[in-house]
Amino acid sequence: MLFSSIVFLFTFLPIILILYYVLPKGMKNPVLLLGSLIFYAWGEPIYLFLMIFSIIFNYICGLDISRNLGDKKAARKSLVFNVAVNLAVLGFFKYEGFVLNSLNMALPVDIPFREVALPVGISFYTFQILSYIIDVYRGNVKVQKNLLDFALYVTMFPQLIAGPIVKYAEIDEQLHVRTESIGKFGDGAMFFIRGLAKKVLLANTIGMVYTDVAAMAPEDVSVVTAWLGCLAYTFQIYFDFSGYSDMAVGLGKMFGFEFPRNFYYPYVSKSITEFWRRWHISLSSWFREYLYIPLGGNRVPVKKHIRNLLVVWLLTGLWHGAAWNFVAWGLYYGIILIIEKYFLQKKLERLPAVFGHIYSLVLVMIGWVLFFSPSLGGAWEYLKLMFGVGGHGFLDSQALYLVVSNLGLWVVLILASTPVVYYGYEKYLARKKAVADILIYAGLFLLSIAYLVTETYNPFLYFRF
Amino acid sequence: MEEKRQNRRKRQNRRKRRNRKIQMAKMFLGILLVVCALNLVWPDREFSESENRMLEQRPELSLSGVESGRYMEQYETYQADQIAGRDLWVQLKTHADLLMGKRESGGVFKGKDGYLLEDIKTPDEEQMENNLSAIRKFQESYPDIPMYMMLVPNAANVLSDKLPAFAVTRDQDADFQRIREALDEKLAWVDASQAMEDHKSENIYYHTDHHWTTLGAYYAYQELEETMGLDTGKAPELTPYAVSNSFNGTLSSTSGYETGYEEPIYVYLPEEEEAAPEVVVNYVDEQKKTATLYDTSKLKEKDQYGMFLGGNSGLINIRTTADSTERLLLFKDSYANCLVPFLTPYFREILIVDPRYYYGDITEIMRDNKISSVLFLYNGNTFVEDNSISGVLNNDETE
Repeated sequence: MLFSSIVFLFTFLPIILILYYVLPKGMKNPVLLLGSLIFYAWGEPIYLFLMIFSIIFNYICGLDISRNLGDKKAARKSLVFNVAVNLAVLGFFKYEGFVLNSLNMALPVDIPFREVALPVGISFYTFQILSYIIDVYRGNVKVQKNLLDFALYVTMFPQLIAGPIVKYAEIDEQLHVRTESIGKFGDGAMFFIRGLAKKVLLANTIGMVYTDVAAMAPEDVSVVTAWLGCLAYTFQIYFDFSGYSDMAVGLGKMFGFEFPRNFYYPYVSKSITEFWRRWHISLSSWFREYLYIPLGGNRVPVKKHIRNLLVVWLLTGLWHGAAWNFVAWGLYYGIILIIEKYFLQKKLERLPAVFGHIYSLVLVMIGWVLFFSPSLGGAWEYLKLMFGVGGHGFLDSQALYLVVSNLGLWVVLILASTPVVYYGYEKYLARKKAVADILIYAGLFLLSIAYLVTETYNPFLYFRF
Repeated sequence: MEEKRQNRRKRQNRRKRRNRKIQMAKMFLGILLVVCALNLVWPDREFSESENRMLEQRPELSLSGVESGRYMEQYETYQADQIAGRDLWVQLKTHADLLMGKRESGGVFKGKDGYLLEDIKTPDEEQMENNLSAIRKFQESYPDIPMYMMLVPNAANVLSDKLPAFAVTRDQDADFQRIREALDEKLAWVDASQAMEDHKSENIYYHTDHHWTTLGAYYAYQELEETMGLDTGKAPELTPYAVSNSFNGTLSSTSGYETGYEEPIYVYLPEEEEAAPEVVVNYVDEQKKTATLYDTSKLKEKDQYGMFLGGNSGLINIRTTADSTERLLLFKDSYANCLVPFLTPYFREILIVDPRYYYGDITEIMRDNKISSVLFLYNGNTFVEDNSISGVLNNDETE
């Protein structure tokens, strides 16, 4: 199930809220767990069993590791076994097709295989589970003896399918003790409405511009059109993903949880290093804590440090998807970060800020081309269009139409990508009384519902593909 | 003093923030509650008049449906389709889109002067090649019967100056040229594009519907009469009469734009009634005979264009009292429906086949009815996406 659906808003959410608040304390976690399983099964009925298997397996492994903590060797063995199984499951469902396909291409073999459908959220919940297992091994957290609570940690529906990746250490306490209040609920509702509006009003609508441009024949695409298409995707992925995270945070608050922040205005960054401190924060911090630092981080000779960065970014790329363009996308960032670290950072800091902004945004947009293209070859073709090789001239009527027929939307997207409007608004509220405040939030909510309702109104939306 | 005041300020702010959150919680729960409550009492509808489509009904629960996820998908569509106040939600969205600058919805442009224009469709190359080769072969099997092809350009092509600012569509003229060349002069080309171009300042397309008006069809008929060499001496003088002033077409339904726009529908009738031939219209599949080319009962429905020949049927046979021995076989889409009345004075019999709904045998029709000419009449968008012409024309080969 998706948050941004009528079924979620007007069937699932009301029922689970009522049950959660009506039932006594001891029943709250079980109700959340049951709801989360239904939430998952709604979209992935078959893979529910895979998830249940994962939960039971890791629950037992956690107990096993913790039992062996006195014996370093045994604990380590337990850990290696567990991590291997988790990665194997992830590998089978996510990377099997990619690996075999690449092998068949590279070697004179033809291994037959059947592509399996990717279980939704598997990358997210596998990483959450690993954070638990590793932290139990490290002695950072106490082992979870209650199977239901552990299951709730893995499946909790607000962050189940699109993050943020909540580390077990961050939520351990809250599984047992947390407070719900009407104030916190209201805070959660505000987060949720902002996230829903980002996803439905901004990401989905600008996504249509990207879809249109992507479907155009290359010879009809002018340079400006290509950049507009890429910019549209740049906005779409940010508002889609960060909107989802905001909804997750908001829903968490409604049930008394506090989740970590996942995005912090990434597009105002002045360098790529800064961009990755602001983009998908929970993923970068997972990689830092469980891979980069164990590899030695930056406290090693230069050569090793470069190796560490490349490994982390190669895997970051692969985490996003099983295809060569994601590998390229990860390495692209790895290389830029190395260059920034060793050469560029100091120079960038001395230049006027506007230069850093443009530099970062252009590199990020080129990165998204690698990300959204169906293949590396496709990315190359698109980049050629952006830099004026072939195509339909520099500026054409199509490009102007894309600007004019979405003028209001572009303005809102730009403003909403910067902290200026939001913090300005909050500051204003702190000084003045704003009766309109609640109307603005209610309006955003109602408008989002209208956009959700009409999704079925327009069955031709993705017809062009 | 200063510190005290600051502390009081802080306390005030904290209270204000808390109040705000409480209000937000109430608002959020209030909206959920109201919509849920309305949903419970709101009756399900089968059909949406304003969107002109069937709405999803409550799906039946079954194990296989749940297992495959189909049940959940249907349920989501069902709940969105049957939500309380759906029409209002739709209106809200359309207005918000317009405010943002959007001028396109569901493949329909919101053009200037109240015109809605359907986007020019991209040909389905494989199907179109099949259709064209089937048409060529069909002509080759009847070399003595003259055949004609009339493709009508769509409004977005002819009235391109009515498109929203900077909007670009596919070049339909180029597609037509390609089709013309592919037919290899086996069929005589009736140049409707020129006729439409010459009269583009007149009301030749509906504002809210994807069809041409009867006036548009009239100009195309003049072109047809010239190419086919029809004897205009037989035709009575015609006068237009408005039969409706409240037509709101399907483009309005698919896009959600101009839903309040109402426009007239005209029919062209002879000044002296006895000057026109009488007709017997036989809807073969429906087994219905009438003495008129118009079905006025359709004027009470949403899609009033259906009044011409009663909408779409697989096979219609029109017999006339015209002083002629000619018999026409017409392959067509709905554009032809308002043009056929102009042709009745010239033919003893007109057989109208709509390949999308026709499952009979064309060879039999050719043999039994002494057909003396054949006309293909389509609008560009339907023709380039059609997947039924080749099936109907090749029918004899498969049997």
